[in-house]
Amino acid sequence: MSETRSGRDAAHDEFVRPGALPEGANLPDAEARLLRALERELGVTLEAPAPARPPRIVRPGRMRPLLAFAAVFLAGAGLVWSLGALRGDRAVLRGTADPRSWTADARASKIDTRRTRLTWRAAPRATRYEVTFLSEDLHVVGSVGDLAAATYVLDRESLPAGLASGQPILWRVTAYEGGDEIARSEAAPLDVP
Amino acid sequence: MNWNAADGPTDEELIARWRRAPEAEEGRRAAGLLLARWRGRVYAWSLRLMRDHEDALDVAQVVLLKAWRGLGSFNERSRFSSWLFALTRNECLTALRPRLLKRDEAADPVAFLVDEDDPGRLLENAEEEAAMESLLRENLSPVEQQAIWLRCFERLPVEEVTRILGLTHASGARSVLQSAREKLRRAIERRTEGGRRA
Repeated sequence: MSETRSGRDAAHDEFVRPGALPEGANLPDAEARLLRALERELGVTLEAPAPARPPRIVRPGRMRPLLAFAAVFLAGAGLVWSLGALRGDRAVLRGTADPRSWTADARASKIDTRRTRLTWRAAPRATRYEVTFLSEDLHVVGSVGDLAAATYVLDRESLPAGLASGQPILWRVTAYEGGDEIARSEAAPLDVP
Repeated sequence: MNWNAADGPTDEELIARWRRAPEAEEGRRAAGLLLARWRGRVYAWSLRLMRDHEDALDVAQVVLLKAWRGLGSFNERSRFSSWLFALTRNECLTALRPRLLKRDEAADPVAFLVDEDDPGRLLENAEEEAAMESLLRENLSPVEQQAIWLRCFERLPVEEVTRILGLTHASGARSVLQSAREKLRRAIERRTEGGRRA
């Protein structure tokens, strides 16, 4: 707490960077309904600019070598499993919220030498998707968020930040309902066009 | 929860995009993106005051639509967040007015400071607001100033004031408000006595 800020500043700070919400809050519901209200009023379809979630990267501490080993082992095992399961440049999305009802058919298919189309099946209740690109050691190198449709075209002329043409990477898609993540695919291999 | 709106174009860029073509789809979309990125925060503030999800949603929707319709009046010398916050707080106070009129004045730490039954009107009066800020600054510690402001002008519940100010002692903001109230009462009495002598 700053000793010099005024009450007005404190209120503004709380507005801009809200702390814990009071009991009874339902932020995803509020965000979804307010977005629809805005779309109706403005007569446009808005790609939900809900905040992107920070990548979940395990960063083992130096004091926890066993944990570090376990994390590396699990990441490696996951990668091997993914590559085995996803032969043919094909990914199977597994919803974390309702895995029985959402089997996505994620594909990366070349349109031409310059462009590759990523597609997947729409997830039930999903309001937006985020495609995340990972290096082969499973570190996030880039992402594209707020996708309203279950498709995204990678274009060599306008690659997302962090990607380079010809680079072998992995990609995965995450489905959101409002601000809530409801499902996430395994990582699948991809050659950046 | 990540409230950071820093990804993508800035607020100022979106406003400029809207100003270039306010009627065109591109302009409306820019305005929509701007308002959509703030919608959660408008809701959060509304919820703190309204204490009910549906009521807060109603208020937040009114705020966003008023912001859209009044975007042309936004003066870019101030921050967009400040402008939207002013809209939000005023709309909340308007929505709260029926409850405030029924308030228990004995429980209101600053009820004696204002004769005005309508705090929304009070907040619209910049001179009165400045005078009040000056009174607070001259007589209260920084924490007391913030507590009084948040409780009495923003109308936040005591527990929210406690949380925002990070007050960890058992009585939270209650004792801070009590102490501030006493100091202000004495300050007003001194002013009144000084005025009578003059």
